[in-house]
Amino acid sequence: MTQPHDADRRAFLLRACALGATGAAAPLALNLAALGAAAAQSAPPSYKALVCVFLYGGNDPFNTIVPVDDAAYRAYAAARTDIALRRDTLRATALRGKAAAPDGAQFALAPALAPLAPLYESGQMAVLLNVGPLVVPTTKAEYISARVPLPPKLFSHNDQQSYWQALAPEGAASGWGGRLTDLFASANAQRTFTGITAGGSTVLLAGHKVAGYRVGINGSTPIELLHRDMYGSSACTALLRQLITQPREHLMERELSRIAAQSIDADTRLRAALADVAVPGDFGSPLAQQLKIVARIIGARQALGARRQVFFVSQNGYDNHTGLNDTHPALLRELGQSLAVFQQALTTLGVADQVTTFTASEFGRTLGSNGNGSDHGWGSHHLALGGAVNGGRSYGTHPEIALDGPGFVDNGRLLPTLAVDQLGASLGRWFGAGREELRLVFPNLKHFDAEALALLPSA
Amino acid sequence: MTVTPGQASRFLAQATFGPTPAQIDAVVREGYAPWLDAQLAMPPSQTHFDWLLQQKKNTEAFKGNGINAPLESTLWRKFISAEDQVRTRVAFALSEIFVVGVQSITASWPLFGAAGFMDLLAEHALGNYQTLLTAVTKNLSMGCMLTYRGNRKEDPKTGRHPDENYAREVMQLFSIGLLELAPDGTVRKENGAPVETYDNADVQGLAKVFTGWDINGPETDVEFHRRPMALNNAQHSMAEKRFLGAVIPPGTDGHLSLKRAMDVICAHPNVGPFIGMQLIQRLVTSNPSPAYVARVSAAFNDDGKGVRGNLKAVVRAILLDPEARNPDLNDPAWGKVREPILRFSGWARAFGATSTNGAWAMPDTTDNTIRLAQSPMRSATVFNFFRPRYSPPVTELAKRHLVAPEMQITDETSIAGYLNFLSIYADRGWEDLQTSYAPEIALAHDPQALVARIVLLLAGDAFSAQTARSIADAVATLPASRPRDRVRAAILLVAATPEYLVQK
Repeated sequence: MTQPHDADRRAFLLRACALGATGAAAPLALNLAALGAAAAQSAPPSYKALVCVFLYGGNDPFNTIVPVDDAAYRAYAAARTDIALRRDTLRATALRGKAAAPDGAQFALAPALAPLAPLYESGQMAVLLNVGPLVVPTTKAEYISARVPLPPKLFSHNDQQSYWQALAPEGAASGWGGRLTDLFASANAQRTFTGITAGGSTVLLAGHKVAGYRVGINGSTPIELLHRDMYGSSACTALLRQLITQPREHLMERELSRIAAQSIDADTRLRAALADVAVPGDFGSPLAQQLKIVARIIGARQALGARRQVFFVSQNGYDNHTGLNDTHPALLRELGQSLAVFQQALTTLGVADQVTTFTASEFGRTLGSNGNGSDHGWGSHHLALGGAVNGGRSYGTHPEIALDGPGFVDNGRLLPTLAVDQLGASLGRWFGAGREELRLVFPNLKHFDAEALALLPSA
Repeated sequence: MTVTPGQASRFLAQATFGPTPAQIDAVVREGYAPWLDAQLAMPPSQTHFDWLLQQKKNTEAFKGNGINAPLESTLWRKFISAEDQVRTRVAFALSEIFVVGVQSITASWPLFGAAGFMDLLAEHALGNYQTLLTAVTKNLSMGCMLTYRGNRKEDPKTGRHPDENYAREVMQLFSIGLLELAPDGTVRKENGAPVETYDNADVQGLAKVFTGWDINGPETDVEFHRRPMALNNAQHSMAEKRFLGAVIPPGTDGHLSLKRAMDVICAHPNVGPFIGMQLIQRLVTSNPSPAYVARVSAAFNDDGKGVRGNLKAVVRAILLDPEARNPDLNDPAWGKVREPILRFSGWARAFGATSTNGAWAMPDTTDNTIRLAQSPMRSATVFNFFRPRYSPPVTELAKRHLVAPEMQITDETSIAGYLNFLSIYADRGWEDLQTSYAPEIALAHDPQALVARIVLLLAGDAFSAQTARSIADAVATLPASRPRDRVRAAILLVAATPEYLVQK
C-alpha cells in the first residue's frame, strides 16, 4: 500500500475510534464500516486469498502432530494407551525442517499426512502448536479459579466452531473472515465473490456488509426453470423470475428473495468466468472436490475482478469419541492428499505465494483415552500452508505431556498457549490489514504481547 | 368459533405434513380442538419397522450401511399417507431435536435402526417426556450416534475415562441447553450475565452414568434394534457420580443410576421452555413471543392434572394457542421458513400423490443442487440440519435479534436446488409417487379458480390476492387445450414464491 493511502486510513481510523468510544457491538460495526471506507481509497495492488479448511468435530491434535523425542513419546504413549500411534510408524513423517525447536522437541506428522511432509521440508508449511480460544493469556490456576475471563461454552461443538470462526459463541453476527474482507470491500469488482464457501454455512465469512456466497463443487447452480420457457410460456418464466426475486416486506421472504436474486446473478457471472478454467490433479475426495472449485475460482480471479478473497471448505467426521484409530487416519489421509494436490494446483496457476491455507477445528481432544477414542478438548495443533508461509518450523509451544500437568486442564485437555486471535491476526496482517484494524477484527488481540507471529510477512 | 378453509389449511400445515382437501373440510366442520383431540387419541399407525419387515427388507442385501433406500420409502410413506398425522409430524419434529443419522448407526441393518428410532419417537411423541428421554437413552441407534454403546467405566490404572459424548449432548441438546432459562424461554441473568447450566465437571460426572450399555442380543436378525440396550454392570462405573447438583452414591448399579440421572435432568426447570420453544419452532413459528413460550412451558410443567412432561398437553398447547391460531398475518416476522421436507410432503398431500405400486421409491433428498438439501434421518451430526437459534447474518432479521433456523440450509445453491427438484416432481411425480391432478385439471379452464385452489392447499389464507392474480394471468397464457400444463405451471409458480416458502 502507498503512503498517502495509509495516511488516509489513519484519518479514518481516528474518526472510527471516536465513534467507538461510546460502546461495544454496534460501534464495532460502525468502526469497521468506516475502516472499509478508508480501505476503499485505493485498491490493493495484487491478489491474495485465505483458505480456511475446517475440520468439523474437533480434530485430535495428538494423533495429528505427534511428539517423537524419547521422553515426550514415552509420556505420550503412557497417557494415550490404546489410542497412541506406534513410534515405528512415525519415522517416515518425522519433521526435520529448517532448525530444531529451541526446547529440543521433535514432532512427526501422522503417517496419513505423509503427502504434506515435503511441503514442510521445503518451507511451504508450518505447524502451529496448541492454538485455541482465549480471551487473555491464561494459566491453569487462573482457569481453575476462573480469575480471568474465559471463552464461553468451552467444549461445546457448535459454540467453539463459532468461536474459531467469529471469536464469539453460536449466534455471532459476524465472523473474522467477513470482518477482514469488509476492510477491502472496494478491492473486488463483485462484492459477492469476496467470501466464498464450498464447505457449508459458516459465520466465518459474514461481515457487516455481506455474508458468504455458497458454491457447490461444480461452482454455481442454475435455476433450470429460468433457462427455458415454462411449458412454452415465456410469460410464466418471466413471472417466476419476478416472483422469486422481488423485494418483500416479510423479513424471511425478503431474505429468500435476496438470496434468489444473488443466486441468479452470481450464476451468470461465475459460469462465464469459470468456463475456461481447469485445474489438473487428483481431486477425487469430498474435501479435494471443494478445494478444486476454490482453485478454479482463484484461477478465474481476473475475470471476476477479485483481489482479496477468503474461502471456506470443510471436512466432517473428526468427533472420534470412539474408533479413533479406525476413523482418524482415513480422515487425515483425505486431508493430506487434498491439501497437497491443492497446493500443487496453486503452483500451476502461479499463485502459490498469494494464497495461504490454514486448518481450523472447534477444539482439540483429550490426551487420555476413553477406551478407544478421545473426548472434547480445548487447544489443538494446526497447519498453515502456502508459498508466503515462513514454514519448515513450528510456532508456539507444546507443554510437557502429563494428564494433570500444568499445560493441561480438566484431565488431559490442552490449555491453549496461542490464541485464535493471534493466528487470525498473523493471517490478517499478511492479507493487508493494519494493526488497529486487526484489533477491531480480533477483539482479544490487544491482550496478547505477540499480536502476530512470524508465520507470514507483513503485507 | 367458525374456522375458514384458509385458516384450516394454515392449521394443518402446522399440525400435519400438509393440508388435504378432505382434512380442510374436516377441520372446518369440526373446529380445531375437536379435530386435534381426535388425532391425539389415535393409536400409532403401522410402524416403519413392521412395514420394512413386511417388505422383506431384513435380508443380507440390506445388512450393511450405504444401502438404506427402503428407509426413505417408509419415512415418506408415513409422512404422506399415515392417518395419525399429528403424531407422525411431532415424531419428525422430535427427530430434529433427538437427532440420529442413519449413516452413524454402527450395527447391522442400520435402516432398521433408523426406522425403529423414528417409531420410538412416534410411540412417545404424545406420551411423557421422561419416558421418551429414557427410551431414547437406551436406544441402540442413539448409542451408536453418540458413541456410548460399549462405553466402559473409568480405569484408574491406565487413566482411561468414560466417553463423555452422550453426557454432554443429552444436556446441551435433548433437555436443558447451555444457559439457564426463564419459563418464557428468555435467558436468565445474574448480575447482568447469563448463567451456564453445567460445566465440564458435570459432564465428567454424568458420563459415568452412561457406561456398561450395549447391544441387546446377537445381530442374527433385526429385532435387536427394537430392544433397549442391555446393561453389563461389570462395565458400569460404580464410582460416585456428581452432576447438576445431584450425587449418585458409589456402588449404585447401572439401572438405578440411569433412573436417577433421568429424574434429575427431567426435573430441571429448563426442560419446559427449552423443549417447548423448539417444538413451537418446528411446528409453528421461529420467533414465538415469550408469553406463548410461557404458556407452553406451563403445560409442560403441569398438564392440568398435576403431571409434568405430558407431551400431548404440550402439543395441544402449541397448536391451539391464540398466537398460533390468530396471528397477525401482516407481522413481517411471523412464521417460519417451511423446511424443504415439508414442501415435498405438502405437495404430495395437497394433490393426492400416492404410490401406484406400494413401493414408495423415494430418493435420498440431501443433494442441494437438484434435491432438498435435507433428508429425514440423514443429518450429518447431532446438531440437526439447522440450529434453533440460527440468525442469518447481515439481515434485518439479525438486526432485530430474530432467528430463522431453516435459513441455515438456505443459500444460493439450495435455493436453486429446491426449484430444480420442484420442477421435476410437480411435472411428473417421482417414480411410483403419482397424481392425476384430476380435481385441478377440472378447474384448468378457469385459471383464477385453479390458482385459488392451489393457494388454499399450499398456503391457506396467507397468500396475497395480487400474487394469485398475477399467477392466474400468466397461467392463462397457456392454451386451455393443455389443462395439465396449466396445473403444473400454477403449482410451480405458487410453490416457488417466498410467500409460500414462509409458513404463516
